[in-house]
Amino acid sequence: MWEEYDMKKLMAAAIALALVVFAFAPVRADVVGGQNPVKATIRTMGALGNGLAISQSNPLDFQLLKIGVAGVSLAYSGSEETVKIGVLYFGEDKYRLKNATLGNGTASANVYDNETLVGSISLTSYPKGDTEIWAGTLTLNGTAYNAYVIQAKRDAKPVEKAENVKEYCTNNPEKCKAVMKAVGQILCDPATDGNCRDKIKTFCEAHPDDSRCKKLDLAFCALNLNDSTCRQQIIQACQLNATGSNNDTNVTSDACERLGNLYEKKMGNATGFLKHLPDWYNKVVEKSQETRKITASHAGAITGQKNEDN
Amino acid sequence: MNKSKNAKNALTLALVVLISAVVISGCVQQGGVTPGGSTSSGSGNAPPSQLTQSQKDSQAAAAVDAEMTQYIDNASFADIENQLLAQG
Repeated sequence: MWEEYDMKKLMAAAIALALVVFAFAPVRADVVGGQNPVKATIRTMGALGNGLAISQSNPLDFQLLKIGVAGVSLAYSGSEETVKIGVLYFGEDKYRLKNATLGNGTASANVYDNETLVGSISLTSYPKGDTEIWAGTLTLNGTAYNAYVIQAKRDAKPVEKAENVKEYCTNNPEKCKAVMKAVGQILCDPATDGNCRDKIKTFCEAHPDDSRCKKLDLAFCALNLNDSTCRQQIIQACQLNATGSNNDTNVTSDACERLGNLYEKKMGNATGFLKHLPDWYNKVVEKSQETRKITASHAGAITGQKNEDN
Repeated sequence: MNKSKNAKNALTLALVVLISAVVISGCVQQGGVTPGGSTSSGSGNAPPSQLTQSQKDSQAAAAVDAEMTQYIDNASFADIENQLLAQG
């Protein structure tokens, strides 16, 4: 009798549990479906930092600034798109930045208070030591300000670096292979293996400190100087090169030269730029000047040869 | 003997149901998780394929805001902490 009662209880418990599971599972699925998960990942970082806005008409009328503006990748329902957007804090007031443009060391956007256009901001970054300073103008509610922002130190997350590597290997399969080969063994051949880019992405997301992944990320950065996080990475690599702490490679040299050339172009706009130049930058400029001399003398030699031939 | 067998069967069934519950629950939760470095959140009543521009802007702005908190606000606190530690 006792055993029969116990067995009935067990059977009842099992059936009840089964009912709970089958009733619960679809509810959980609906909840997840209803949440519509959207994956937002930073793809291009523009200005990110805090600083000051100083009225152009009254230097004592100033306010604290905090800004973040970026290209954000939104992935949902199998589709992906990038939105360029930002957030601006002017003192305690929060604004949204829309219609943002992120150039090579430049960032501009319209300033919105909810859905109302209330101004605009335009900034250019300048290297000061190992930091970038953004300087430009902010117009807000009819008042014009000079704005200065210190770029925050930011490391790209493993998922961002892995995306960078995938993009680089997709667009430059041969170079991707060459970069891996220069550092070590190739993970796979992106030129022949259709799944290679995804394999590299997965590997680099799991192993962001792998030397091949780091070099591929740097190679991506050299071609994407509109990303402030990339510029920071290049500066760090160039500094290591300048102090001899890093084994110089073509990838690092190329990245330093590209960033150096970008900064060199800014010289005409900023008279104070030539002061306190970082060591790595001087090295890049010296190398660039040497290359120009060699190229000029080579061209001269060819011209002289032609003249002699004539 | 027969009763004991039934009891065993019931126990086995209960175990199977429990494992199923854990597996189903795990699978369902995985659908809502996103890898590190990203944000995942609801988007109101519209299905994902029909996100409005405003909803997209909100999602993207939230991601930027999170970066500001992490790299500006938290970094500032860390700087202050380091300064205080340096002063002893």
